[in-house]
Amino acid sequence: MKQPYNSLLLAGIFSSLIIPVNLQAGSDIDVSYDTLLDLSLEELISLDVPDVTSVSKRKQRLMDSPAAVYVITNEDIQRSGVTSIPEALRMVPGMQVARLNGNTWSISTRGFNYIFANKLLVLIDGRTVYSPLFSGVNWDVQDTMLEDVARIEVIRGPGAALWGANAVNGVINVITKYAADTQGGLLSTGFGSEEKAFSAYRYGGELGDDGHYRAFFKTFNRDGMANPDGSGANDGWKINRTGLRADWRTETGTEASIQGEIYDGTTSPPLTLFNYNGTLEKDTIADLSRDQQGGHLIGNYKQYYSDGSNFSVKGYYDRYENYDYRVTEKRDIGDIEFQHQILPWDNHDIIWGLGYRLTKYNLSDMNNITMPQTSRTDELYSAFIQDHITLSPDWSLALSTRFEHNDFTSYEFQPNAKVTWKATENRTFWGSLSRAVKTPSISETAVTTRGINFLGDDIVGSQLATLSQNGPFLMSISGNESLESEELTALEFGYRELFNNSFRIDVTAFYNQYRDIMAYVNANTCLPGTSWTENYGTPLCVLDENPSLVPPNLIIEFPTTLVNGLDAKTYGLEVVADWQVNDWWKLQANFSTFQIDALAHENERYRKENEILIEELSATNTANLRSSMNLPNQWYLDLWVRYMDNLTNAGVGAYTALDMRIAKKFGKDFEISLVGQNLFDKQRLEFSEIFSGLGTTEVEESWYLQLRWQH
Amino acid sequence: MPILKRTYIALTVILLTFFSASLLAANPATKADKVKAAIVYKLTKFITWPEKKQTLALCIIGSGSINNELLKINHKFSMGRRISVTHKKYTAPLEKLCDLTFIHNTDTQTMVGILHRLQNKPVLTISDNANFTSQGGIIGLFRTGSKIRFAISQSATKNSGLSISNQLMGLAKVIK
Repeated sequence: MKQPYNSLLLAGIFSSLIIPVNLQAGSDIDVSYDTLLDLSLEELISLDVPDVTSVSKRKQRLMDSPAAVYVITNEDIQRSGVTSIPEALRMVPGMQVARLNGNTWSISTRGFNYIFANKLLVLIDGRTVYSPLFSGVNWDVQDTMLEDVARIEVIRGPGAALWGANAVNGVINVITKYAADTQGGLLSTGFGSEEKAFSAYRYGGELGDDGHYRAFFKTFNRDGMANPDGSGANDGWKINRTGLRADWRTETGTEASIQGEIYDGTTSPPLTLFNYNGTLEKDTIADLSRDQQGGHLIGNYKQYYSDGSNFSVKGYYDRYENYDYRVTEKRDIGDIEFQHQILPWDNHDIIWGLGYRLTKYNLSDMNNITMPQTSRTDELYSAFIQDHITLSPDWSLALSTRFEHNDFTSYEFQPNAKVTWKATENRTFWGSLSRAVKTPSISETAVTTRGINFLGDDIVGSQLATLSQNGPFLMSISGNESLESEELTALEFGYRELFNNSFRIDVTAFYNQYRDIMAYVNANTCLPGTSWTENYGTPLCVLDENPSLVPPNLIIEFPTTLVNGLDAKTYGLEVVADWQVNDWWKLQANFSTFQIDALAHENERYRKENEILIEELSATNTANLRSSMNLPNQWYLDLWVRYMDNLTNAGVGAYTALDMRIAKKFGKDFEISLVGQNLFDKQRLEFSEIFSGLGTTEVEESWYLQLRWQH
Repeated sequence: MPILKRTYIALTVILLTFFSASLLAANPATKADKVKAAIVYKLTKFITWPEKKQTLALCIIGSGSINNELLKINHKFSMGRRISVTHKKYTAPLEKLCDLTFIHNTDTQTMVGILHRLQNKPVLTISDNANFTSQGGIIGLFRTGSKIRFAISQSATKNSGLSISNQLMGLAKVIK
């Protein structure tokens, strides 16, 4: 009888929200306009004006951009109560975020939703966090002090011409605030059922006339999620992180910044792997800790000139160490980029740039993973150019392209053409045609994984099941050095309109054609430790002779390798509607729908598995509705309802989730809030998969209490 | 069944919200918008144009929530000159129509184009675009921490033929 109670409660909450239409805003603006005009100029320039990145300003600029851009603002992050970057991304239309366990997420847009979602490029302050080892993102170490994130810009669809390879289905740009906008102290701390304890402190000050700095420390301790049987899982998570940033900005047009961060954390992801050396069985390892450490240093210099041109130089160094049971991974990345913007003729705006990146990998202590060379160095050279041409006051055209040279597939060429038509001041149409590639990763070209994936009896057939009644059917996947890039040709159309300065609609339709997507196929060679035999009627690789390993106790391994074996078509629609109902109430809604059709090149053993895998990875429909209210006496109420369709491959049913945040401010500097996440759902499976060996745990309903104090 | 129920609740919420509040207010201006508009108004009191003016035509170029705030200084007096505020397209003959312009939310190209056309003309250019004064603008509003301040380009002022009081120069960050 829990449900009726929940509905009643919800109905109560919502109806109480809807009645008080004439309430005044929780007075953010304490000085009325007329009093401002009475102030002297001296007083005006010493007024405290907190930087609430003007929403309308941002939307105006968004209005005209020829891409499906969605911006998560600092306010969105604060008011939704999310505690990590992956959770914040759930707000984005069409972004499918699913949590596999405490610290592993599957995040993708426009299909191919997987924990190795390899077609999404993620940058934090211009630093790529895309892993060249497995072409995906280690979401568990992508964090910073969320109060100091200015915004997260998400471009759905290809952004390769400007951002580089692997920006196939989208680009996520996490942008932190200028140090000048984070002056003074800020303490953010709290506790709760899943967020067991967390604390962050930042302090910012001035550096001479033109400079500002900030430094922060953040720590959290998250509880493990839940096992399917309801018991607590062992995937708790702790990370300490500290960082600093200094910015200089002079009115003569020079900007410079230095920023750095280091972190150190530990987690215990549950693993299920075949034990080749001991038990010769599938073992579940639940109590092994995985330590992660890393850090980065970024330097930036930009100079503006009076003719409107500017150039910038950016460089960074990034270190990542991951002590996983499957592999110990140490990575260094050095990157340097140059960019120049010029306005050579009245209607042309040209940006061009050059880049170089060096990646060094060192892999050791491998279990169930092998790689012929344990250390390697890869280089990436790139050059891009974009010309934005204003054809008339209403029409503009942007042509861009990028050339890259990488060590896997050598040269890549990624062009893009976009047209914008500003039909009226508040109505814009745009269209875009682009090509993007996803280059192979180290694991896809050189790594062999064994005893991580297992085949079911249904695929293997009953005849073999009698030969191996107890042991699992192993599947190995070997990388392939001759893999080519996966190619995308994408066509997009968009429409945006701002009605009455208070209602905004943004619609994007896309049609994507992918060629040469990776697929696993029968390899026809047995790996070391297994032998080829035709004794059992069909050719097999069996685990080497051992008195106990005879039928019906054979252990059979199916070797596979990766090839460019699939083509796919996807299409979909994404709709965003934001409504500033009145000065104290904002509603933000979005909806997306998606279809995919995959076709394998060859008719071989795993053809169907490959096609189904790709087709069933993503949800068909997703939706979000967020409501933000500024109530009287500095009370703030936020509600977030999200819907996710079923994920067939992961075996996850459709669900609707509710988050809620209620906050009270005391004066300007003190805020206390209560956040409830995944309410009315005791626990929920969001994802599952078979290619990593990672165990699956479930998300739980949770609450936390938070205090923020600025001084 | 729980899914269905939650979906219904979500739908109900959506419908209720879209039908309930019929009161549509304009996009609210931020405090920064209000302060910037007040600064623009106050600045004019320290500027003298080469020709004696009865009215000061303030042209707004670009759209955004600050426009409504700037419109509120329409018909106010600055040192005996009546201010008239209008919104103009950037393609309009600004040098003929405007005594001062507030440029915002424009791309660099448009901004540079406008500044180019207004070069050596007695039109006071004000903007909160980044690096405005280093690109030929006269007065740039900028943020340092939580304060909004302004910079004045000496060379651009000289080219325009406007005269700016020393009192204002004293409050500004002066760019040579």
